[in-house]
Amino acid sequence: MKSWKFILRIGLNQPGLLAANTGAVVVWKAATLVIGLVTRNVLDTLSDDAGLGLSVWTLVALLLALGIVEFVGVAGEALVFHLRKFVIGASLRTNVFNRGLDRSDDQAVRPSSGDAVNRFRQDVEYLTEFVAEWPLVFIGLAEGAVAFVVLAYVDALATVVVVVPVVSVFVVTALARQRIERYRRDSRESAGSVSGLIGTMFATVETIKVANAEPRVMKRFDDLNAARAALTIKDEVFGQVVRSGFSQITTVGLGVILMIGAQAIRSGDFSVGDFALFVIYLKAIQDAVQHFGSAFLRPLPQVKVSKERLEGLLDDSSKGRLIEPAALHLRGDLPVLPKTLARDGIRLDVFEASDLSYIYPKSDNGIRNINLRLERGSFTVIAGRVGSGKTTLLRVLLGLLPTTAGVIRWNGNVVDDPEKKFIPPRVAYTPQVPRLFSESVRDNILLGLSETDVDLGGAIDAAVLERDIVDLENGLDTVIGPRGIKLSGGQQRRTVAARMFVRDPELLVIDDLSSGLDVETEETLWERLFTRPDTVALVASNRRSALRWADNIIVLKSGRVEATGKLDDLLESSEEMRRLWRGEIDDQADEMETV
Amino acid sequence: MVAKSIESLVEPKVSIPFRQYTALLGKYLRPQMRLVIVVAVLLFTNIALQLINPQILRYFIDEALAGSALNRLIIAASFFTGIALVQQVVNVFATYTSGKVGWTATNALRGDLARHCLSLDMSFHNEHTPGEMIERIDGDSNQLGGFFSTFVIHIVGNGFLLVGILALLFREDWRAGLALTAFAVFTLFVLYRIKNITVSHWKATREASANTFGFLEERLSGAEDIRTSAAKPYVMRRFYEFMRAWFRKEMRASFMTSTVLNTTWFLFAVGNALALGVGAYLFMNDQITIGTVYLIFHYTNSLRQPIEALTHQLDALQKATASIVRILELFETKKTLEDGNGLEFPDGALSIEFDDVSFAYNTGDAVLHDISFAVRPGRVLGLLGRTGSGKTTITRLLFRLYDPDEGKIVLGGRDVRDAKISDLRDQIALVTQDVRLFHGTVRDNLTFFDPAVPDERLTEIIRELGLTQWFDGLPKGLDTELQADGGGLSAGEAQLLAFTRVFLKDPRIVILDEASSRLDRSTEQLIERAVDKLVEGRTVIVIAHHLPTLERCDEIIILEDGKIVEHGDRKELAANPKARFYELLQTGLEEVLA
Repeated sequence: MKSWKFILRIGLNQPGLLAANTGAVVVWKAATLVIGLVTRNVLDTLSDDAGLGLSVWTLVALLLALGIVEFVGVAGEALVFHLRKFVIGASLRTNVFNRGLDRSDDQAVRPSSGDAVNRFRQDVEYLTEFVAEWPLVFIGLAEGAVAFVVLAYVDALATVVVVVPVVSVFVVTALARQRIERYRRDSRESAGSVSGLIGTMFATVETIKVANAEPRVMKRFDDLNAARAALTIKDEVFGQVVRSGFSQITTVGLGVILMIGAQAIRSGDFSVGDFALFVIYLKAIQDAVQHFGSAFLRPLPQVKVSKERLEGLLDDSSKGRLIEPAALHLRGDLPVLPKTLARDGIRLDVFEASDLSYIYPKSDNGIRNINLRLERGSFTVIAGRVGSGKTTLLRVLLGLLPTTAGVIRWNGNVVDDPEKKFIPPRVAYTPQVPRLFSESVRDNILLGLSETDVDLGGAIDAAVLERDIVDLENGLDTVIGPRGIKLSGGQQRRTVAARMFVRDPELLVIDDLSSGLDVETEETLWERLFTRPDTVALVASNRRSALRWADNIIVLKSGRVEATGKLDDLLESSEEMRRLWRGEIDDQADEMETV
Repeated sequence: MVAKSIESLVEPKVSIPFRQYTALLGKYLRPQMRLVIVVAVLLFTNIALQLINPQILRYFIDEALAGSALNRLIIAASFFTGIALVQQVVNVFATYTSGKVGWTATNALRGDLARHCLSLDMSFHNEHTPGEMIERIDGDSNQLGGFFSTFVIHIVGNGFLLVGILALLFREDWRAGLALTAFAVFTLFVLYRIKNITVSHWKATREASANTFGFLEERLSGAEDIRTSAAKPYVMRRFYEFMRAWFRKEMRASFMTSTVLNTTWFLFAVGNALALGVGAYLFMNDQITIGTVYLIFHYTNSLRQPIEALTHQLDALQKATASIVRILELFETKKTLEDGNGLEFPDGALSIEFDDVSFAYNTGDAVLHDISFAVRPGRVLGLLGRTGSGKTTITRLLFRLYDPDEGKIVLGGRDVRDAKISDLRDQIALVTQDVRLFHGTVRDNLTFFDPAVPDERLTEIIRELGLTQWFDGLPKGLDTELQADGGGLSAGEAQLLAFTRVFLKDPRIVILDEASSRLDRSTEQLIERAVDKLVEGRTVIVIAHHLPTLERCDEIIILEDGKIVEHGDRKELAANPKARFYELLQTGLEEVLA
């Protein structure tokens, strides 16, 4: 979508606020123009030039009254402007966040979370300021046009003479647009890098300290910061100069009027009042033109850049949704959460994958021709060495990665959109890397489910977490620090597992849960998992206790199914299984592959 | 423009220690002293020119109405035009120079802030999300930057302009001067009175926005987990809560400041009428010429710009003050961990000794109780215990990420508190189960952005570890971009990368914290081979669950609930039926309770 269309749509999303804002500005600007005319009259009346015939004091009183009207316009504008600006910004942020959460494309193209925050902050701010300024910009231009006409009526030649420098400054600015855009883009990008590094630094601070890497990281920071300094100066200062460097160019124009109009002034054809009118109206014209330049034209290239940076946080298919009016819930009730997840018709009897393949872009790695069949109540383990494709397979089944070939069937029905269907309550997932939020343990597990409608205790039990909860100072209400720092690695994983269990899914998918667990805990975990009567469990693991509990084992090697069966049979028939069981290194001939 | 100055507040609260405030500004402006002087000169020239021109104009008007020679008029007009032109040029240069000064200062500040925050204790970092740190380090210094670059020109410049105009008005007629000075003073006084109300509101607004961004950063990082847990409605609702809190604070702050602004406008309306009224009165009493009436009118109009700019900038000053307060707060936060005087550690492997160490994290129950043990140099110690029994905490204390509440830790006969922290951390290498990767290249992740490490060294180590196959599979070798939190690498590969990091160091002590747990057995064996090399001539602490790993241990300590329940030679314990270690081995499970 073109930038101008984008901006237009955003600006029109709150028509009521826009109308109110515009109305206030109209009152304000109209009052200003009339004040100019009255001032002229005062001066002319004083110098006995043909005035309006009213006494000087009447006119001064009129001035005062108009001043009050102007004030009303200003006050109204101020109130509505700020409200509108926040709402526009909040809508954009809501849309970006909302669609950003749904993002399902290739991980590699995504900006770091630090960079993303920067875009949420700065780029939204730029766009918001731009859109919010419209009423002022365009009514201001109208005001300038009216002023121009009035001045031309008074003295056409003088008007042209004095308006020319104003317009030429404007034109020069417009010509510099491309350069401005380039400076801005470079500056924003380098700002994003600095933010990104800050985010990284503090997300991995413990690693950095332990590795005594603070000086090295700071050196990189200093380099990025210095680059940013240079670019920011170019960008901001250049803009400043263009914006305010010529703020009084009209004075030059006035001087020219004096020079060429000296005769007319001498003879009284051009009065003092006329001159005062010119001064006031010229200021209005210049302000209008300058404001148009600074609040519209100059930031316009940035609009494109910021728009693209925001769109960069979304999938291609969602990019167009940025402009939608968003429900903000700034007042009134917050949206109600569904109490439980609708459980009608989700029963799983058979889960199948046929000929499933996914190859990573620009590489040879992935999974090929995978067939599997999971039946109700079964516990299946996928085993394989590092890089054999276990995680890839799970992710493909869940729709977190696309398929390049093959189908997935749920109860015999082909599923084209696993990422939409294979979520709670049908399917729940414990990933390899536990991701907890800065909330209480309870909220981290429930994530919005109503505690009275689910079996929280049961989930904690299933995750073998009950003793850990007891040991925590506030139990379930303990707030976990940034990125779950206060829990040990094993506790984090089991909390994420509890999150999975509490959703009581038909299919449980677990990626290697038991690492970091002591054997007793691990054994309890698999046992409890196995004894869940109807749930289908699919676990990626090489752990012996998991393999022992499994109803069926699928051995992967180099992305293909090497063997399937029960443990004892596989130990007899499959060399790979034996190797996994024993944990032997392969000799040089057998290379290690990558995911 | 009005719209922007809605956020205007008046001068900052005096309760901010003015000295601290100027100290901060001074520190960052001092290195650019020469440029600052240039700015000052340009500024004053600008002001002088702005004050002179209306005088020329008055002369022109009076001469014109008196019917003077055309020549004289044109010369006067030419002067007027010329001065106006020169003033423009001076303005451009002044703007450029002050901008340069301001932004250079900001960048220096940002660097210092980042450096300072990075050096703070883990107890600080546990309380603040990365998103929040970005907002504070980047956001607050940006706020100051825009302000620094315009402060001088707008506040100082306009301040002097204001004084100059009033002085000249007095020179014209003391009554006009008096009236308009009273007006200016009253206006500023009103604004000054209301000035402080809004600082705390803007600070609160910035806090609310920082919280929102912290929330956003966390949830975006965990977007996949949110999706697979179908937790999006919940997360969106939390988002609305944050936005709502921010909205309320911001609306309150801007409402208060708009009151200030509206008052200003009203006063100006009065001021204009006043100027004309006074001028008219004096003229009608033949005290002044019409040219002077115009002059008074012109100067009054000129008052508007500095007063408006002062309010607008005082508003920016206000917001900047809020940022300065937050920045000073950050600088005030000191690390509690003090560097020791510095000492040399003996060569070779180091002994480790814990004497009666007890420790609790900030708020919690004690995690370690009276831990005492000693490990001779070059020995391998196995630490076993349930998850959460205190094993990881012991390693954190070794690194002095925290100081024990009681007791002391001694390495190679030296109290760790006596050493410089960076020296201490150079002695020890750690491999954890949770490998933190950054958004950067493979090289960046291995060397922590150190350009001094030659690529040959990196590839050499990769080869020694048997990782050549994996490495060759990377699209751009060492320049391959990695995402934060493991994107692009499997957990096993991340672990291998972590080992590569360790081999780049030359530590005296090695800690393997459940390092082998996430790996495939075959990969694990690869690592173990390399670890054999690493372990030679170094003291090692191992936290692991696997028998082969434990077989490497000379001694075993078993922890339970933060206390040592068993400590002894591994072989002896394995043979002693009364030992817990023996029991664990005998439960018939291959992997040992760890």
